[in-house]
Parts: sequence; structure tokens; C-alpha cells
Amino acid sequence: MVRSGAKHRVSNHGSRLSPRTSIRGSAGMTIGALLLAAMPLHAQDMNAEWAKIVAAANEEGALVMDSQPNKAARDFILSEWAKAYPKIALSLSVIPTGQLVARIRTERAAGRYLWDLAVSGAPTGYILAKEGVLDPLKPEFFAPDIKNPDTWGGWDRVFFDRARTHVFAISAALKSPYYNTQHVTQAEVDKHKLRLLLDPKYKGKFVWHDPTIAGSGQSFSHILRSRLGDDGLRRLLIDQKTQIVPQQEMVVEALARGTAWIGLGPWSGALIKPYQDAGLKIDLRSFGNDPDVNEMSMGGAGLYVFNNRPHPNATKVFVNWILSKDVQYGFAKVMLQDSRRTDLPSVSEPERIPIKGATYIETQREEYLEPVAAAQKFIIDVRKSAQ
Amino acid sequence: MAHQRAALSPTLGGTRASPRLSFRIQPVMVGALTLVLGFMVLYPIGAVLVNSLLPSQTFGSAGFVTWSKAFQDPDVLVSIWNTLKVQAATQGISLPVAIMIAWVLARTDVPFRRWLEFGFWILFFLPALGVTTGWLLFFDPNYGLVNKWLTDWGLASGPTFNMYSYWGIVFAHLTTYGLSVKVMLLTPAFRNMDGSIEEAARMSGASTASTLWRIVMPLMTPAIFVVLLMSLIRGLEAFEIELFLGVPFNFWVYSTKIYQLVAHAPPQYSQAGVLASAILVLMLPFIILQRWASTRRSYAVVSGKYIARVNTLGRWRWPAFFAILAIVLFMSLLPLGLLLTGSIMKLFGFFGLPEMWTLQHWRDAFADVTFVLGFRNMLVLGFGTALCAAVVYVFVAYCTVRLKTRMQAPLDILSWLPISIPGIILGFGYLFMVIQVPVFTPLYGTIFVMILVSFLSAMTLGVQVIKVHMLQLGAEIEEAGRTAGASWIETFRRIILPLTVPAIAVVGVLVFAATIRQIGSVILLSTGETRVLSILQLDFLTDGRLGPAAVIGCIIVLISLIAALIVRVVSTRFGLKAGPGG
Repeated sequence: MVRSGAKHRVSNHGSRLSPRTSIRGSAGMTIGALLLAAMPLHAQDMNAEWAKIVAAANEEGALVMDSQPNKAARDFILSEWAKAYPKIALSLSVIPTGQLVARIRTERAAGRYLWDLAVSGAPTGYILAKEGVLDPLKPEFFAPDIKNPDTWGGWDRVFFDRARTHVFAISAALKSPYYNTQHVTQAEVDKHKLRLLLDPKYKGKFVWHDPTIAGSGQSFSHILRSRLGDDGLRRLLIDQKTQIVPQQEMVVEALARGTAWIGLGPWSGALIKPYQDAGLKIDLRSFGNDPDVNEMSMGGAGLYVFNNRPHPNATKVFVNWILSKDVQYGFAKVMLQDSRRTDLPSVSEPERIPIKGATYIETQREEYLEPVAAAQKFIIDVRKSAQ
Repeated sequence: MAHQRAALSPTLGGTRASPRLSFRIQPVMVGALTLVLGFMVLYPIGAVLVNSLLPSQTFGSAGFVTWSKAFQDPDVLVSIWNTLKVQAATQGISLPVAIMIAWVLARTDVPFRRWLEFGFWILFFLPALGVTTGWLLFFDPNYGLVNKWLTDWGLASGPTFNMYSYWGIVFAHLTTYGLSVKVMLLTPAFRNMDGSIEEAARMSGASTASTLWRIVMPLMTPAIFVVLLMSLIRGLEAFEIELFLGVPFNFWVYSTKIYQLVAHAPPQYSQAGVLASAILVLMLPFIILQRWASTRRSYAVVSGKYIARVNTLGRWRWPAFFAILAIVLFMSLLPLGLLLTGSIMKLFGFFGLPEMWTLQHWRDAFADVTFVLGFRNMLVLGFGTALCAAVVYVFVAYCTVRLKTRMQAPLDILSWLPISIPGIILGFGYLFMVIQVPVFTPLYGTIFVMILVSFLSAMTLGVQVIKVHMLQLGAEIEEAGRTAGASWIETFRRIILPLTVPAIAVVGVLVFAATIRQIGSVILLSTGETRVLSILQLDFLTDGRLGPAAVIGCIIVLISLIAALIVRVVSTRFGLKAGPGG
């Protein structure tokens, strides 16, 4: 536990102190001494309280969560949690947003409350918050550094829902399209930026995680519409014969197989690794850190807790575990997405480190739900009219 | 030979029944059994219908207004049309091929015909998803080997075959159950045909082909019609192939559309209920026709002058053998070999990597908690269903075969109905039951409700297998027991049951094998804790994780094959008719 410094005055050696000064000095010293003596007690109390929570969590013995589809994230959580809290079995499911909401509705209609928390996309969190099935997150914070908003750069920076209470963004990463360097040059990317997507030379060579469903491709719908305009977006979808795929893994797969050269979807740095490890010679790069081609994304790492959860103590332990400094750093490294903690170094590649002072759009915030929905509707209409 | 009859004729119930028994407990037990089964079978149908009339979130309406608006939704109509299109192609291609193969196996001197028939038996047990996953390595539009070869050899400029297409779906159906079920059903029917009819035709100077076309086919038309109806009913409940192959290119059939309506937010129970009810109404004529055709005896080809004579193929003997062998191997060894290959590839479908092979997917699978949980759930579901089936089906079969009570006909109909209810609708109906009926809500999220649904799904086949076996037991066996002073229960327990044990064992294994690979009937009832391996495999496939999906596919195939062999050995040993054709 961090000790807060007790401010007190120290007497000037050799100078004669007035009685008032002496009394003040003595009182200050006494108070300081008392505070210093109290700190360990307070820390001890907190430790004891935390031990009780952990013991209760061990008694519960289980934790049920929904996770984003990113395999690196899932594997990290499963393996590290098992090491940290072996007595609390973690049941981790990956369920698409629509299905999760439907399932929760169905379960609750049957009087069953089966879920504790989720580390998943923001839109899922907003829907669930609207359904009234989430609890505010701050009461789950226990560790002082986690409770301290300065650790996160302020609550506004990390809470993405309008109420700033339910949907907590764990990660921060620049998100832009990415390209295969064997077929697309950096010079072209730097020169044309997003307008490169309209270059007929690359017709049929784009793959986009379905922007009309909740997922990694969704945010590009608004960004591309605002940057390219309606006409540009229409050309990208129709004239450029963009492949629309239902799963984010398929974006990486298409890039790995060479059936696409430019991808719109998840950041592939972690996802392409298995292909590279298997011997595939492929080099993927992002479009850089220009605010015009990026948004500041939370990835699929939105943290929220369900009300009436079956394992409240285990949930509290998990929240404080995943937001702790060490775990945040490990999570950031496997995801290649920076943590939102301000006391951790960046893990991003140099070209994905945000420009200091630049403003990046964050379309995953709840404020952007309407323009994103409007862009999605536009895309649906365009695709339908082309059929 | 006298015992070799079409396995699925329900008219056999009551033909050799015991005399009316006066024990008071018996009507009560039969009545209770009928009531319980009636509730289990009819409730999901009723629930689906009722919920289709409830207020609709999308349309803001209720009752028949919901129906009217649902049918104005083009997606609903398109899904029904797609269902019919897939079945038209599947049945249209598989039926004539199956007729030819069944005739060759049953009516000619083709070599090793029993082994060839066994090959189709094995095909019947293979899980559809596993086989389809294997085909991807050949026919995926991006990495399929056949597409690659054709392009490399200059025979095509782009991918020729695409599993993610209408014809890809039809192909998957043909190479899974589409052809094998028909061959299994038709071969015994052809075999039971009186050879003297053919002989008379030949003596009149007709050629083999002419005899086949002008004599055999018309004679076999009723049996072929029944088989077609059964295949159609079975085909209409297809789910996992369409979910895996169809959704990526926005091709929906009614079963996947129901799943989408229920399993995605916001759940649209009313529209799903409308679609499910419409399909049941559409299937009703097929069900009635099929039952009517099965119960008629006028098409009997097993006459008192049965002659087991086969046609000689002459120089076509060995070509026919190799042709059928090629079909069997093409539909079994090839996709299974591909499936196994895919499970040990570092990257599924990536040929040409410096190091292509690995056992890592297998290691990861067995170390993965979701896999271990899925495997355990699969065993619990399989064994639980098999146990329930073994206990209950024998009672149902006994009551419909041996007892003359008023409940005999209703019970017989109830045992037939489940095969006519598509799995996804059955699961949908049971979902309503555990949500809306308070006494059943504790079952939600448990494996027990999945066992219930699986038990129902397999009831028709299981009861039929035991029925056919019981019919071989003479009534005098029971009479001897009663003459010796045994009560009805004692007679059943000490005489009928021991004699029926082989059939019960076969049914248990059959039910186990069918349960572990089913998806449609349990997917809506499955949660993270009760997810079985087959659903986990589907999750992996739709998630693009084809390596782990292939591992699970191999495991389910292996278990299914072991089950197939056990059933074959036991049924052959005890002279049982097991499976739809025996």
C-alpha cells in the first residue's frame, strides 16, 4: 500500500522557537506520528478485508464471464487467472452480442442469473445497461490505485457509457486499416491515406469484418462515411467489391491467404502471430498514427458486471485482478494494445503510438451510437440495392 | 427371412397382440404413459403455435395479424423457399441413385454386396459437420485443393467449386445422410421382393433393364414413396450444414432462420413461432401421407411364395462393385481422411508451409477446459439419453405391440410424431416450456432438459427397432408365463425383458450415437455450462477455428464409428433389424 506523506514542519536547528511554534510543532509531530502509526493499521485492515473477500470468492469457487473472440485475450485470461486464483474456476464463453443479449433475456425470464461479468465490446455493454442487467463498476474497485482516477487519466477517459458508470474501457489502441506490405507500399498509404481504399488498383482486395453487426468492423462504418462521404463509401462497398465477412478471424485469414491485401477489422498484430509462427511470410502494417485514419479504440476490452450475479466476491476479485498493474501490462502485451493505466509504458508498435496532443475520435463511446447506427443502416441499404 | 420386413411399418402393432388382460393396473400404467408422452410430444407444438399468436416486438401486433405481417417479411418467405430448393435438389439427385444402388445390392449378384451395404451403414453414422469440415480442404473457394489443382493445371481461371454456396450445401447433404439413408431403407425393401415376379418377366423375354423399369419399379413405388417422404421429413430438419455453410453467404433456410430469430437480440419469438408453425403445417400432409402409406399392406411384395433369387449382372458384375465401392469410399474415407488431415495441419488449409504438420491442436484440445467440459457433457447427454431410452422405449413398444387397449393407437401415433417434428422446433418448444411453465423453470440451463429433447428426438427409431424385435416373440411365451401364475409385470420382467435385451442394447447404442452428434434440437437449450462437443465444434467452425473444429470432428466420428460397429455386431448376432433399414 502506498503511504501518503504526512506533512509536518521540522524545527530549524539552533534557532529559538516561540511557544506557539513549539506547540504547533509538537502537535504536528504528534499528529504525524499518529498518522504514521495508523497507516500500517489501515493497510492491515484493508489487507484483512481483501483476504476476507478472496476467501469468500474461493468459497464461491467459480466465475462466469463472457469474453471477446480474440484468442490471445482469452488464453491470457484463462492461464493467468488460473495461476493467480486456482481455487476459482473461470468459465469463459465467447458469445456474439446479439446472442448474449437474447440469452440473458431468456435466462432471466426463467429466473436464472448465470453471468458475473464480461470483458467484451462496448456496444454489448450499452445494450445490457439499457436492459437494466448491469451494476455500476466503481463499487467493485478495491485497490487504492484502481480506485484513484489519476491512475486512469480521469474517469471520463475510461468510462465509455454516457453515465460514466457501467462500461469501463481497459485498452487503448489506435485502430486503422492495415495492409500487407508485399502488395501495398507505405508510400502509397502515406500519400493517399483512406482514399487508397478507392483506388481501382485494389479492387476486390479489401476484406471488412461485417460493419453492420457488433464487432471490430463496426466502428469503421462511421469513420469511413465521415472521411470518404456517402459516395466514397458506396464505391468502396460496391465498385471495389469489398469482401464482407461475418467473423473477425476471417479478416486475418483472408490477409494471410492473400485473397485480400487491406483489412478493416481487428488489429491483426496479435491475431496474425499464429500464422507467422507457422512459417507464413507475411508482414502487416497499420495505416500509421494520423488522426485522419485512426480512431482510439478500446478493442473488445470493455469491462462490465452483471447485477444479481451468482458470484459477487469472485467478481470483485477478478475486477481488481484484471485492472491491477501487472496484469494490465501482461494483457496489453498479448493484445498489443496499450492499457489505459497511465503508469504503464506503451506496448504499441512505433507507428501506432498516438501523436502527443492529437485528438482521436472514439466511436465506441455511447455518444457515437446514433451516427454509427446511421452509417450501418446506410451500408445495409447500399448492399441491398446492389443485390 | 420371414422376420425381414420393412422396419418402419407401424401396422405391425397389434397383429400379434396378447389377449385382453384384465389387470387393473395395466390400463392405468398405459394411460399414464400415454398422458406423459402426449404432453412431452404435443406441448412443444402447442407452445410454438400459441407463442406465434402472442404480441410481436417487431410488428407490434398479436394474433393472426402477426402471422399476416410475418409472411409479408421477404426474409421469412425466402427461408422457406430456400428450404424447399435444397430439398428438391437433394432428393431429386439422391433418390434415383439410391434406387439403383439398392436394387444392385439387393437384387443382383454383385460381389461383396453385404460389405457394400455395411459401407452405407457406416455412412449413416457419420456426423454431418465432421464430414462437411473435411470437404472444405477440397472445395473451399480460397484454399480447396481441387480448386488449386484445377487452377494450376490451367483447367480453370478461378475457383470452380465453392462449399459456401447452394450447391455446396446440396453436396454436403448428399454426402452425409441424403444418399445413405435411402440406400439403407430401400435395400431391405428390394431384398424382400418376391423373385418370382422378376422371373416371370424374364421368362417372357424381358431384359434385366426392362424388368427393372417395367416390373420392379412399379412394384416398389409405394416403398420408394415412403422412403422419399421419410427422407423429406428428415431433410427438412437440416440445420448445422446450413448454419455453417449458408450463413456466410446470407443463405437462410427455415431452421437457421428460426435460430436467428430466437438466438439473436432482440429475440423475436412471435416471428419464430410463425415460421415454425408454418413448417409444421407444411409437413402435415407429408406426415399423414407417410403414415398412411406405411400402414397399407396392399403393396406387400413379400408373398407366401417368396423366392430369394437374384439377377446376374454378367460382365457388369465387377464394374458395378467398383462403382458402388467408389461411392462409398468417396463419401466416407475421403472426407474423413481430409478431416484427420485438417486436424494435424498447423494452419487449416495452408498447404506449402515449411512445417505443415503438428499435433498441437490435439494437445490444445485436451488441455482446453471448454473442450473437457464439452466432452463430459457429451457423455452425460449421450448416456443419459440412452438410459432413458432403454427404459422407456421398451414400455412404449410393448404397449403398442402386445397390449390390446384403447391407448394402443394414440400411443403408437405419439411414438411416431417426434420424427416429424424438426429438431430446432422441438428445442424451441422446450425453451418455451422451461421459460413459461414455472414447474419446469429449474430445468433451464441444465443437461436434463437436453436429455428430454434428445430422448424425444430418437423415440421413433428406438421404439420401432424394439417393436420389430418384439413381434418376433410369439404370444405363447407370455401365455406360458401367465399359465404358470405370473402376473403381467412378472411376465414382462422375467420373460419379455430378457428376450428383448439385445434390442434394448442396440437401441441404447443407436440413441447414444445419434445424440452425441445432434445440434438442432439442443442448441437453443444449451448454455456455457451444458455445451456439448457437437455445439462446441459448430462454435469453432463459425468462429473460423477450423483446426480445433477438425479435432472435435475426429473424436465424434471415432465414437460414432465404434457405436456403429457395436450395433452391427449385436444386431447381426441376434438377428435384429437395427437402424432405419436394418
